[in-house]
Amino acid sequence: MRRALQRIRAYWNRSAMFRAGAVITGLVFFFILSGMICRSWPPTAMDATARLSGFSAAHLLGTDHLGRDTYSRMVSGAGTTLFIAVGTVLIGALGGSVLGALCGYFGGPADEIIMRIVDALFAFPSILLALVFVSLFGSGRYHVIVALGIAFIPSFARTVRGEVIRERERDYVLSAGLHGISPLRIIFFHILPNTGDVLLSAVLIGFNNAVLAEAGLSFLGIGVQPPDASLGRMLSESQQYLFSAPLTALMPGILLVLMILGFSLLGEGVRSAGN
Amino acid sequence: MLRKLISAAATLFAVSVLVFGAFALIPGDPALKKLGTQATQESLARMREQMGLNAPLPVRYARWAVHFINGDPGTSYSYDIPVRTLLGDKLPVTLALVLFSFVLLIVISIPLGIRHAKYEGRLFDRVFLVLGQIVMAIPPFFLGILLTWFFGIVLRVFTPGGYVSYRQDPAGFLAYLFFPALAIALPRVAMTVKLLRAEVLKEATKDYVRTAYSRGNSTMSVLYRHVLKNAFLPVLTFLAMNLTDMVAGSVVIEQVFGIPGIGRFLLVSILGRDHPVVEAIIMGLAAFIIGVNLLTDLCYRLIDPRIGGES
Repeated sequence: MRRALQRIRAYWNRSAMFRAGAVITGLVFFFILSGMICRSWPPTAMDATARLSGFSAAHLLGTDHLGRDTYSRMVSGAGTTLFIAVGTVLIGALGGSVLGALCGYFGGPADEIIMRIVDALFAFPSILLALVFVSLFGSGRYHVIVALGIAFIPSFARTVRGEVIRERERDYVLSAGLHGISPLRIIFFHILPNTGDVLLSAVLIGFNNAVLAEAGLSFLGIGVQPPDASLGRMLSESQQYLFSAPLTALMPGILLVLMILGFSLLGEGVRSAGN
Repeated sequence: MLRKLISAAATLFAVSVLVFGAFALIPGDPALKKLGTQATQESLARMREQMGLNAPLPVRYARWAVHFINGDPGTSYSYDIPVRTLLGDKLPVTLALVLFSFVLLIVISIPLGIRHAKYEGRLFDRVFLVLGQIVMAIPPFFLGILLTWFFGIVLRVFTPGGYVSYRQDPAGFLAYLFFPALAIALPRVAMTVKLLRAEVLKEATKDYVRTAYSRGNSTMSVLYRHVLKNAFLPVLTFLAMNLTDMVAGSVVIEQVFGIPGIGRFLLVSILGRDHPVVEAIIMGLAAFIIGVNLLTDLCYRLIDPRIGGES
């Protein structure tokens, strides 16, 4: 715990990007928490007296075409997006790290074949992969997590494999091998902790891509299903009212941009501070 | 090069097996879907026979693959029209959109990236560094909505949703594609500019640059004749990767701007479980992506003869 704090302080001191990212991400989390503590309207409640209204005391950030409160829908939508992003990155990072580490450490024909498949998958944009998976499994938030998670495995596998190959010949790995420590233990307890910076920045960038991909899928109508709120869905629903009520579309969009900006700055900050 | 070709063909084959297998294995009976739940057992059986669904999976795959190679990807379940005819008039639309945005990407990002590196540390550089970081964080569909709102509704430069078919009015068609293409290109412009700037600055610290200066070359000639040649290789790979990503971007952007292209059709077909259409589009995309990667490799060899000499 203390080491983690020291590390964060080091990133903070060394990188302006990390500082900016931390502040923006902090604001986004503050926004989400504030809404969870004191929101006056449930995200699916419709207020027939105020449709497509602007800023007001009753509806802080206005309402959408059904009279639903934009502020509470943004809070709940951002929560859904974060939930899906966490799930996606968990599957992608765990699956990718295990696959990449094993391939990198052992090599051989299995590595060759698996990496060919990973390369082929990597060539496909992840939103297209997710589209295909969603068309196979169906939509809804858990399906989206699985679809995106699988689509994210290749990039993590490639990153981790490269790192493991670089560390494999280092003295501490060789000496651990001479001590009779099992290869699996070497991989997961000796090598992987040493790739911390790279892995952390990959996770943060992955987080940022997951938010983007989830919003894209929901925007296309095959991600989170109504009446659940999602930032992408709010954008696609409000797009046709752009003429009469631009705020309904602009507000969730800005939140989405801030989320992505925050994570990408954090990721870049970690990467540049690690060098 | 031959090895690359073989490996590309192998990848394409693997994709086709995966795609066909996946769609054959998921639950759902195409014959039932076509005839509706009211159909009798006999008519269902006849339909399955007619659609060739009774044969074992490998035979069906082989049949499909042979037809596909001969340019016939089958018949749409939903429309009962050959997939080829359906895709025929949508393909040019998406192709035009992607190429248009790719041209925009190159035309905007390369001069901007070079300028950026030239003014390193000055105000221009700093402002664009921050601006670029923000533009990169805007999802393409939100950028599309922003452009629609600002240029379509506030400034009234174009009519939102006023798509013009390329058959009726090619010039109007291209004009309508400008903002969608811009929405796809802009975030990538920011990424490319950032990469190009970093590469140019990295090259500028090398010895050959100092040598070139000491021989009396001007900054202009060092930059354009020496540094850019070397800085451009990584950027080229990145641009090629972007070309494939832009195809994915067009799926979303076609939805935002109401453009009847391949992407929008893919979405409709996925929701309608029209498997022959989805399979055909995915195979087409895979072929495109693999082809672009091959071409990039070729360009690499042309620009830098040191690469690929040993194989």
